[in-house]
Amino acid sequence: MNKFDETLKKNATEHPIETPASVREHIDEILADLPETPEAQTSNVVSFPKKRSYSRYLSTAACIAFVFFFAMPNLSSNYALAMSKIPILGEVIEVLTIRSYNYEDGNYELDIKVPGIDAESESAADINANVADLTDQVVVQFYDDLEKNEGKGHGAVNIDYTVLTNTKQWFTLHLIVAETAASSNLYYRYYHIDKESGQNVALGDLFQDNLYAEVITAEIKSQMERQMQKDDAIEYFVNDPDLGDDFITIDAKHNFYINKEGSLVIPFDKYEVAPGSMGCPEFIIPTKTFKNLLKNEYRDLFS
Amino acid sequence: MISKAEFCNYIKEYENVMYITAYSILKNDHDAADAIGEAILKAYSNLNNLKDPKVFRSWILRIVHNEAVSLIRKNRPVTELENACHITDGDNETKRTEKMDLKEAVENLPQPYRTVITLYYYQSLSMDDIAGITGTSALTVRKQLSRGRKMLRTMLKEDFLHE
Repeated sequence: MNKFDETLKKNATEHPIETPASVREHIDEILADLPETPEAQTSNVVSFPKKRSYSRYLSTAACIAFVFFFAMPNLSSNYALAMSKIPILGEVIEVLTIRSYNYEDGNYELDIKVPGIDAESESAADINANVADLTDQVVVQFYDDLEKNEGKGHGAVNIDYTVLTNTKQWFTLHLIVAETAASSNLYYRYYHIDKESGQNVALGDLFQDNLYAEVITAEIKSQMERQMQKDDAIEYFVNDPDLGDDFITIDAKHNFYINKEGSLVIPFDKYEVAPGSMGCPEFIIPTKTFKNLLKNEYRDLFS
Repeated sequence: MISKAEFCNYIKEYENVMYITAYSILKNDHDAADAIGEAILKAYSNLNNLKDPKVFRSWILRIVHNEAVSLIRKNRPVTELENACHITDGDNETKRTEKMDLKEAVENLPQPYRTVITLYYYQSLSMDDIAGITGTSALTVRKQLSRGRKMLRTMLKEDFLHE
């Protein structure tokens, strides 16, 4: 793929797409007709995201989390031990902030807490490696941007986590990533362990075959359409052939979690299937739509 | 707040990437020009929302992107124009065939891959920049680039694989 990638870059560089004269003239006409000062704002216009909006939102939480998950554990080993153990139904999985990244210069802010599952299992090691890969990428990118922009501009990156589920059978770690630069992005990652088998579980692992993807995708599209019919303010990129058929799709690795009611929840990243104003949409999938597709060992997980 | 003259200078500086962004979504010059025009007017009337002129490019491209997506929804089906390709004439017939194939292949990509591939290869924008414009995460852009490349590889294998 590298050679192919290089070929594409070379070809695109040697043969750039030029702006047609008709478009250039149209732009010139628009610019020439602009008033000397901007007119009053109109509604429905894209507002440039306020810088570090997420960092503001997260700063309080970050302070609290810092005290509870980083400062206190490092100040008191007893406190660390108590906080890190989450015993439920006799099963204990320990989660600690194993590493923190912090940077603040007034324009750029980095606040990352890297969780580590303290369990001697391959599944825990896999999750830890996956989380470390993701956080490392984010940190490297942050410092690359900082260097590239020579400290000018603005940017903030925050990563936090929660233990969403920790039952006798199931463990879910929820990672929250908020990036703010030219725009704000927010996305989640969920990591699951089936405690009985000791295995990491992706969405596709819950099911006997691949039919679930079609069934759940259809259910999500149906929910999107119903919501849009009920409320004009709701918008999803559903049934939009110009945006590509697979805009609304799920696959074996798609994010999911099981809520307290025992329902399967399918979340999407911000902007993934809807305008940013919709946030990170989530869809609760009725168990009856997929229960017969589940593997036997996972049927009891869902109500 | 930046002045009208500064605003116009920025627009001219980023005219090409604005066109490429709009065209990658709309696939015709007329609609691309309309989307850019609307974006310029909206950007100018909301200039006080731009707190930092250093991010003008990301800001205007995001507006162009949103205008183009909005237009494509209003005006389906999008008209394909004959002169959709604007490629500089080459003096080598082999290169001409090669670049036509690439351009045509890119135009045949479904969205969001078409826009992501175009911005990445023809404007050398970073994944972060593209994420800011299209409103996704850098990780999502990386996945889209990967899938878009695979599609291009399939489309172009006769021309590229044996180079």
